[in-house]
Amino acid sequence: MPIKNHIKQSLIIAFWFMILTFPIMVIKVNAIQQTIDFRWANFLWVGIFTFFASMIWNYFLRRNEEQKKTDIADDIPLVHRLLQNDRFRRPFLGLLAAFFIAYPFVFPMYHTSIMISALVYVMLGLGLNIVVGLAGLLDLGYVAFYAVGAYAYALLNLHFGLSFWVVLPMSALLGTLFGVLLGYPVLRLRGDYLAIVTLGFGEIIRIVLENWDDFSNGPRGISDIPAPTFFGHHFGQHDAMIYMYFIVIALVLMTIFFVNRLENSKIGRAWIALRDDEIACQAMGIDKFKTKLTAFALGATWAAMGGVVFAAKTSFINPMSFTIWESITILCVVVIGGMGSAIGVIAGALVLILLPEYLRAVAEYRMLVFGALQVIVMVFKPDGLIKSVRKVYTFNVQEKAIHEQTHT
Amino acid sequence: MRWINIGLGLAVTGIIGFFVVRELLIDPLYFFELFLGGLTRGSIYALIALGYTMVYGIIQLINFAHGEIYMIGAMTALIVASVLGLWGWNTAVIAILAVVFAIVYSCAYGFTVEKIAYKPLRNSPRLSALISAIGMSLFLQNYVMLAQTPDYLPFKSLIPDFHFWEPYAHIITSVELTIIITTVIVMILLGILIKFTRIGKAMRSLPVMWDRSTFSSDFWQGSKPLSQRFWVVSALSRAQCWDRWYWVFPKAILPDISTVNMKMYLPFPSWY
Amino acid sequence: MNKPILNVKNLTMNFGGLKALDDVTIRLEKGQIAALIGPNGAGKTTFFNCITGIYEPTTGEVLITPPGKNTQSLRRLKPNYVTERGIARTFQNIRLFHGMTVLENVLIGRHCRLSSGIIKAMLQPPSQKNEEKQAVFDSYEILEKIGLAKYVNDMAVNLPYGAQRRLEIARALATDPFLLLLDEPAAGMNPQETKELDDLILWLRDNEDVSILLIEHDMKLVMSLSDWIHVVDYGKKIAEGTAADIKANPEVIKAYLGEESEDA
Repeated sequence: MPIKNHIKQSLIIAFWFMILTFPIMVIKVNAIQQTIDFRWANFLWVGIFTFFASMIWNYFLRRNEEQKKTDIADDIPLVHRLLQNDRFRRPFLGLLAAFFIAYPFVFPMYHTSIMISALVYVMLGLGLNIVVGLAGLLDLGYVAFYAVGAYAYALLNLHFGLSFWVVLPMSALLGTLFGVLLGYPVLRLRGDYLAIVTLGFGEIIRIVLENWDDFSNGPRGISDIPAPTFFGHHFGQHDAMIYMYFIVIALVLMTIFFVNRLENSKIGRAWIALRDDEIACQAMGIDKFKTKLTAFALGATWAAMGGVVFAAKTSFINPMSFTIWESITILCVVVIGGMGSAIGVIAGALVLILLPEYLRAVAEYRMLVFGALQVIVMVFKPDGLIKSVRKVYTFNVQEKAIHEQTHT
Repeated sequence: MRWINIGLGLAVTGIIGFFVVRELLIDPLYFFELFLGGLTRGSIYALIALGYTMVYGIIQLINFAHGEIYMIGAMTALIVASVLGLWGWNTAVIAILAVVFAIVYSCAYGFTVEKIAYKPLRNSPRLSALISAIGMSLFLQNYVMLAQTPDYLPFKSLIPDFHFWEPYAHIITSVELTIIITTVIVMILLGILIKFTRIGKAMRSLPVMWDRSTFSSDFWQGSKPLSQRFWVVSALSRAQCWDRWYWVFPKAILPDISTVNMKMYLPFPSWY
Repeated sequence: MNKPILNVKNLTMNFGGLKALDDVTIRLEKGQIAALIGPNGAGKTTFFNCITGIYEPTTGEVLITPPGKNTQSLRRLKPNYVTERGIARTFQNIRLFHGMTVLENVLIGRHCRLSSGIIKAMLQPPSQKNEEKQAVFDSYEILEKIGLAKYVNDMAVNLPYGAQRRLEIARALATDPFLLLLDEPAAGMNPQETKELDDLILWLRDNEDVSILLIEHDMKLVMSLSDWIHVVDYGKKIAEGTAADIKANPEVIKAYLGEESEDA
């Protein structure tokens, strides 16, 4: 299609948007002074903006289409290529490690603080990735387990004076328990029904916390939750933040380590198979329900641990931190990052949590930009920023020969 | 297991039924007032849900932006009504124009949202489309908040108190009556549209093809019915369904929702 | 006395008034290759689904006697437990895990014969590693037997059609079954592939110690393979016997050629 047609098309689209946004962008009624304000400048801006936006949009859409046609072979994301290549692997990881170690010492405390939040979301994202990315269960009530962890630490500390390090493993177990309890009734459902029911459960937990005053202190929440100690040693505010940062880094590394192992084990294979075809899976002797429940409970385990870290970091929690939007944000982390891909989830969490923070420069527009970016990423990269590349077991015939020799 | 389920169901129904009947016996008039209030609210949700389920039925997507389109319909109606009100037009004309504009605009917005955020994702993982919908929802919410206001806006009633209805107005106001009647009419019209017209048949056939995955991408590329359906969905579900009566005559239902606020339009309005 | 390894008694499956299966009784002896034939929609796949626990039969009983074990009922068992008891199946419409390699598909079949749980998967003690390795080698061996070894690292979705059908058999075999249910294994195969399939099924029976019950439309294959043939029509069993019996049975001919004979 010649360029002239593109311009014509974009002009039509711009005109469409000018009409579309007219009442909301242009007219503004002041009910008190009884005046109508016509903001004609907006009318023009919308036209100009949508014209160029549509040119760019269509250009990239076309390019995407063409790319799909030309290389059918799966394109491996750059990060994966770097990691697979032995020459780059070590320097790349080294650089990454150096960056994360130096981070809290180089940047001011504010940046460390938001990086901790982002890393908590990495943990949550990796946990939810087991449920959504690997097992294919759409869980919109993930925040329930996050709340369980946070409240477990806050309450156990408040009433029994238990420390962070004691509560962390306890809350992991508690998360698993809740995962099993909530998963048991709902995992018989499929697809979107599951999503709606889990969403309901997430809300139930929040509403209980909000209304059961004696137990959770209601909407006022719980404050003065202590930061973690180092063998009984308390840090000053600044050092405590750095300490927290490294705890979260350690937890994230642990999460990656375990999730990676799970993914490449018998159970991980079963999750992926279950996502692909339930009936065939059962015919292969895989217990559908048990396998799903495992994924659900494991996801909950990590959510609960994330909750403990969250409570320790903010030192104040109330039910408002655990609304449905929190679940949705975590889901966005997983999907935008790249479902089923650990590196993708990390990238997704960093982008999704750090971006709104840095977008504070444009203050009130940040959520607008954020929403638009979500749409744009999904339209142009539907598999997420970093597509999942599963580690495929490649069979080596020589290895087998060696194995047989040693065993005979 | 089955008997336990049935027993539980009966028990719950019985308990609820007991309280309902008790209320009815204590104060029948008050009961009917509440009942009709509930019916009014319920019919509005039913209309929203109809749109929801139509969208879901065809693109198998939880349309997170549904509430936002609904909000835009309400905003358009409000703006049109305010402007025309200040220009001193006749109330009846304003009411009709507000509704017409609301229908046209929510329809156009639904159509545009589908073109931008859902259509390019038809062959992608379903979760991607879901996130795209969430992004759209965030965008529209903030767009209206920035372009208009995040505050509550008063919305004057446009429906007069009907004279002939005066004797019964203490049980059910003319506004509530209008809402219920409109709902019934729209539901019937929608039923006729889906059952008997060509476009309705096309719409019904699509999800079946989707389920059996017999469609190819070529099929979608040339697929008029889907866009058509979305058009219809947007128009009927929110606008044509006249759910903005809810906002046009807010006092009818409860005093505390007689204002318009963006926060009311999170994905499932009933929770907030 | 030799008990039949599969003994289906008076199986009836009712789908809300529609009798998909009506009082079907089938016995299968050890080492037998039996075939279940009948016109389209006669209830053959429903029969498989009832045995494997995907459907719960309305009435009737499915008894199995695994070699060296006692007779047990499959009543109300979930499909995965049926597989664990030693009955594996393939599907009429191929249901491979497309995103996985050939080897991984077979590994999924090994799933129920592996013991490592979640904790072991996370900590990976030597026992778990050895088990994984063993599972991979076992899977490869199965692929060698079935003749798919050269595809071992390919994606299942990229396999030729005939190979996909064979892979389904390999995957089923990986669950260590004593009874293999094959649902139209030759559908869509060319004559050469069908011939190879014929050899494979005989070889499986002779060397792998499995009995086989198959649904098939390719009469040539059925007649040459089967020791015993059951015929169903409209959910009812109308005949059973050896290939020669069935060929001569007037009811069978009527069921198959019904319409044409009326025309004639």
